[in-house]
Amino acid sequence: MLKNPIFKKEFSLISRSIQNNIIICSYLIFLSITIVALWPSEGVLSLASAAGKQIFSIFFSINLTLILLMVPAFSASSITYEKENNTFSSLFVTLLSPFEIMSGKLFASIICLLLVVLFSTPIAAICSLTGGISNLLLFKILFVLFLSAFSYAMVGLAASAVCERTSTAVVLNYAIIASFAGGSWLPSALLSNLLQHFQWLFHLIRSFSPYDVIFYLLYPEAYSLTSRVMTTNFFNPFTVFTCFSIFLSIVSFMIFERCIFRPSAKTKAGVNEQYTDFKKLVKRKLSWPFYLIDPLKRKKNISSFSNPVFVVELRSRIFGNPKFIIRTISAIFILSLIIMTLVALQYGNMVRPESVRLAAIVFQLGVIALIAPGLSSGLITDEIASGTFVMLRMTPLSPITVVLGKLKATFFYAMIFLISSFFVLFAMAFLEQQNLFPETSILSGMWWSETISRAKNAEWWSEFWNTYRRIFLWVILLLLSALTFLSTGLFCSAFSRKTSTATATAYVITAIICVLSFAPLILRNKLSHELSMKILSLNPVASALQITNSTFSDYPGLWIKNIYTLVTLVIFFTLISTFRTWLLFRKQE
Amino acid sequence: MIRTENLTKNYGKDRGVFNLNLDVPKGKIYGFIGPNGAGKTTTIKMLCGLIKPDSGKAFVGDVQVTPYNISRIKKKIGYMPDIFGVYEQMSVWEYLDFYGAAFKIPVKQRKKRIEEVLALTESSHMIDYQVTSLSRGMRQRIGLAKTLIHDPEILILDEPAGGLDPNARIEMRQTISRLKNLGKTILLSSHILPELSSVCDLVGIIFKGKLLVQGTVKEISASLQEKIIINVTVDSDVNEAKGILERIDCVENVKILEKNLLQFTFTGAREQIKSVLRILIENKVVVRWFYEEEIDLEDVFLNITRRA
Repeated sequence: MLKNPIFKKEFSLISRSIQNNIIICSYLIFLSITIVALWPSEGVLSLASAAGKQIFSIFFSINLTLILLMVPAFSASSITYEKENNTFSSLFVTLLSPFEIMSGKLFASIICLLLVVLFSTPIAAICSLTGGISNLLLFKILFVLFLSAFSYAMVGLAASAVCERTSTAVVLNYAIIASFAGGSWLPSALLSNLLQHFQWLFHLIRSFSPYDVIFYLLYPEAYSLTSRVMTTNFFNPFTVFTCFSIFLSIVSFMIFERCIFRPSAKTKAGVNEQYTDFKKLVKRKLSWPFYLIDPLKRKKNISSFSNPVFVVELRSRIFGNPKFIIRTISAIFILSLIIMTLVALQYGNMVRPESVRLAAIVFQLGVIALIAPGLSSGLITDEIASGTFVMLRMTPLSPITVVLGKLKATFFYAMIFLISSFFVLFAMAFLEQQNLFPETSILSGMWWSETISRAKNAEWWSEFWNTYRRIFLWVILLLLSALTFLSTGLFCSAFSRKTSTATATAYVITAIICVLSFAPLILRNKLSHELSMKILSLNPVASALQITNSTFSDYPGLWIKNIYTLVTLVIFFTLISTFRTWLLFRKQE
Repeated sequence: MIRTENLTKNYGKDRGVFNLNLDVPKGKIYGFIGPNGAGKTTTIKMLCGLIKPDSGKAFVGDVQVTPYNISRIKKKIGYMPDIFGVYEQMSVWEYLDFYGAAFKIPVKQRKKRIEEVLALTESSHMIDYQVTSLSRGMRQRIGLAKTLIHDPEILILDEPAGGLDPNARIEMRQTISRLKNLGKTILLSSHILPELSSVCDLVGIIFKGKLLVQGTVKEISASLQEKIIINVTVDSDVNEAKGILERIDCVENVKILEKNLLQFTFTGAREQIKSVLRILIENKVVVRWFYEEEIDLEDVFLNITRRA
């Protein structure tokens, strides 16, 4: 492998990259801070066997999260970057065999991730000082980390071979990681009561997640209480996870091998024909819904009041690829309906409607957190890489116009995706008290006349507000979260050289906002109440939960502070991005 | 219209631009010639305000290129880079409409302006094509249309014919000539020499960051020629004509190139050439053609760069 020129080139490039080194250093510093924060400040260590396990579980969960967040940055751009820079064809015509190209790319990105895991072992070893963890257990957990990094890096490479653009490959990689590592418990949670004969299957799927395996390894007794399937020496989460990771790696490798030398979609013939060939034109016009957004129909000039950057983003990125929009909206729409139906069927009779509300909120915020950073993380880097930025500089457009136009377009884009979860909001509204409106059909004239007469009373409006207040606040929170994640992506894009780095950084910041800001719940004894409040006020999920069912009662007014924090973050990221764009506009080599 | 005073950008080791003094009059086409890495793009970028010079001044339409004047400069110039990107999934019309809006052309005028620039670049048939699906030649034409959208006084075109086939190059030359007729001042760079000789009023040769010579092609050729080469076609005995020529002072190196074609080098003053013709006629040589061989731009370039 050391003689493979691709491996040598890739490895030296990754090692030399200042940004990659900053990412690795930040990762190690973050882990060290975690250890300092978790370390028991009082008591005797020998008594801390349970505390040791707790430190281990938190430390490795954080470590695993950071590794999974870093994986796409290293692997998902390896082929797309070559395609974007038109260097892949030159590589292909060399005397290097396809296997050499593949293995070089593969091992260069994987070895960096494995080194990252290796670098963290001294910090992990410090945890052993608290006791309660055998060497075998430590080895097993490190093996889970290694295997997760390896298998998801393979997935990233497959995504890179399949996709044409880095941003798409990175988002696809994150979506797969989120599905398998984060969402593998969903079938077990949603279907176990309905399909009791398939308990073993749900158990199997749950074990695909490395988090589940770490939980099983550290707390086997607690794990058996949450699982209704008996574990054996062979059939246990650890072995299932190992087999699944190997299977995932093999499948990814096969996809990688199949797609890497496939002709680029960009070079497919007939791109012109759809506009010049009459038959194709008619076919295109008649196929729903593309006739609605056919570029041939778009002959309306950009108005003098519109932001041209907003319109160009709309035309190029958003309506330029209608298939992607339609497919994604349909997927989210179907997924939201399935999840809501299953939650209602599973828990409707057993618990309060609160569960449905919680599932709906987590789902919607999850969709936004997954989509928004990826939408905006290529806004500046893609312009620079494609060579359009220099032409944008030569126009009289100001940096603020450019930044706001791009932010507005991606916000619009994100809203299109949010509309697909409209029925989730409808379900939430349905769960509220329904004595505001007449019980007759909404289609009858009676309903309307009765409602209008009730609305003339001021008390009805106050009751209306009390009933739907939560819905309004959720919507505001959703919109603000979307704006925050989009501005985060824009901010990362303005400061990064590559879209892959920008995307990965944007997802790390999003994960800090949505997940790691729950840290005060674990570090309750270490942090003051004020500091905990400040950290939690970053988290839109926490404030959504408070709005829903008054969770976090220890932190009154958390949701208001969260709204202020999110507004501040949006303004901060947008201003800094504008300033950076201004510098890029003025930059003279 | 475009002027530089001791413009310098030093990248070290003979790389960059050194004490460049350019002068492009209004309404002229100025060809900026030089091999790869000579400093053409660096100069162009300094004129557009994209690169900061180490010293010296650049003026575009009497406005000095500084970060403070950049908005005035942007209105005056149309810049087409050698490699430029296009937005994906957009038609040519939408692409031009965007740049029209970016240059704040009122909506009422913009539609007409798009049609005008497309007609000017002979690209009207491409109006509904996707910009990403265009060939290199088509893309260059659309790039030029985009450069013209705000009707700039000055056009700065970096390698406009780079990578084009001979037909596309001829079309590009014709387009550039049309633009000159509209009164535009054009600075274009190229390393393909013949493409400039026919279209440029003035030529500047840059080598290792230094402007070696500038002027018309003829002026430069004349200044370089130490010896004058004359071709003579005769309808009488070619050997007899050769003998007569060899006996004349200041005539050297007489060669029979073809059946009736002779070539010789005249080392005397240019005014004395006619005396050679007179001697030939007096000696009853039937002269059909008598002309001075013109040195082409390629020879000029090689001559100058060899000296440098």
